[in-house]
Amino acid sequence: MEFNKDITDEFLLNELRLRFEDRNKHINELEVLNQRLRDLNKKLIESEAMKSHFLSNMSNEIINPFSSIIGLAKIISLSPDPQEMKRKAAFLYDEARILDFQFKNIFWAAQLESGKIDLHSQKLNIYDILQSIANKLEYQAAKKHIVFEINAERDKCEIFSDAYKLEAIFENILDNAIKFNKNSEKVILRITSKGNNIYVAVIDFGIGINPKDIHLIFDRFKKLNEEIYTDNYGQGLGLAVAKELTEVIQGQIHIESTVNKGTMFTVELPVSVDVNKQIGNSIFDDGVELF
Amino acid sequence: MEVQKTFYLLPGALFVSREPHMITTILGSCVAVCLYDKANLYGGINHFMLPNWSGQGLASPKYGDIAIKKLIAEMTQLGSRKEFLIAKLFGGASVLEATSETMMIGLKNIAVAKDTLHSLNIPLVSQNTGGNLGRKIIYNSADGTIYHKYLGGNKIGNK
Repeated sequence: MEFNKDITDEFLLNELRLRFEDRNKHINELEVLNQRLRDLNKKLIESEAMKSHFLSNMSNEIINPFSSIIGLAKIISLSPDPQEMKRKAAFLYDEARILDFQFKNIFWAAQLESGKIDLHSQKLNIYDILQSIANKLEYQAAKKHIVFEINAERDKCEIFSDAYKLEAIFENILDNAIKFNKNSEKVILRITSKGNNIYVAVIDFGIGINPKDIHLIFDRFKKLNEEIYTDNYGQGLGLAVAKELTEVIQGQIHIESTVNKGTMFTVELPVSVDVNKQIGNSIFDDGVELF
Repeated sequence: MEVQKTFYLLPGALFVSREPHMITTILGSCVAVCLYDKANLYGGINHFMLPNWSGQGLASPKYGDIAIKKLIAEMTQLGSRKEFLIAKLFGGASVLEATSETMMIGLKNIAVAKDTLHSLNIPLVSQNTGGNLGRKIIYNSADGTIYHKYLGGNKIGNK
């Protein structure tokens, strides 16, 4: 037939090949899309598992202190006895402080993990910071008959650094020292300086850390003594947060520990951390290259 | 001349903003990946210290594998599409006198940055990495220009 004259076998094969190629291309695209969906699904499952694990742990840590706070507040509001009120108010303070402490650690961890962290340095006295944290933890320490002994010369404790980060670092280290102190009625805080650094040592006389476990103590969610202490609250975030914040203010934490004798955390801090000095209009300096 | 906002980027941090900034950071063995969105004309930068997160400590952008993905995620959230991103790479010097292990950190940081960018199909358009001198870089996030300067003496051992 005239109509079919141009449709040769070669033409048909070519057309068929093009259609196959087109179909294969679509199949490949679908496979890529499918793989992406599988990856996404895997990530969502992992993320959901982590979230539910975190939430199930957190619910106890938050709900328990909250329940105590509500119960204690009710007792205080109904109690006719001033002594009883005073005692319960102290409990109330302690529960609220623990809750505040836990929230702060969670928010610090979230901020550090997001990478949105900067530095606000000001003139400070590290002695005053330690003293105010020791006061804050006084009730918790008193429950275990522990007092803080500060060995330092206050006028040699001035630094230029970030107050909020220092408070978070030392609240965690001091809280940890109280939790694990057991062989003594004191925790020693010692401040010394050498060159351009200040060294703050926090010494407890507690259970100590096995040398093979020392590297684990800064791990997030890691608690080395899960079953031993009833006051071992927290998510194991504290020392991980303390370590990272110390690095942000350009310091380091060193640990020395002997099992059943105690642990010494030494925080080494530069006397001055001033990032503003680094921001200059140095783009026109000699030796600058453009990329 | 309009005064641009400035920001100092700390090690382990990242910075992304649609607003133009001059971002300064100091690099030794650390590496900074500077991303620029050619379509939306803004950028973001990270500054990581170690190549990979081992699962210990906080999962922060102190680690290269996390820092690069987080930076892209932040920019995607601000409306960027991956196909419009280009990358510039700096740092990774072997500045520490010491063991081969610490000397390797800079090289490992560079490698993780290159591998991650390659696997994400983000073109690496320029770089100045390695050597044994620290660097100061200032990133103009409005046009993607990097002002780069070596710290502490003459250029040696670079490139």
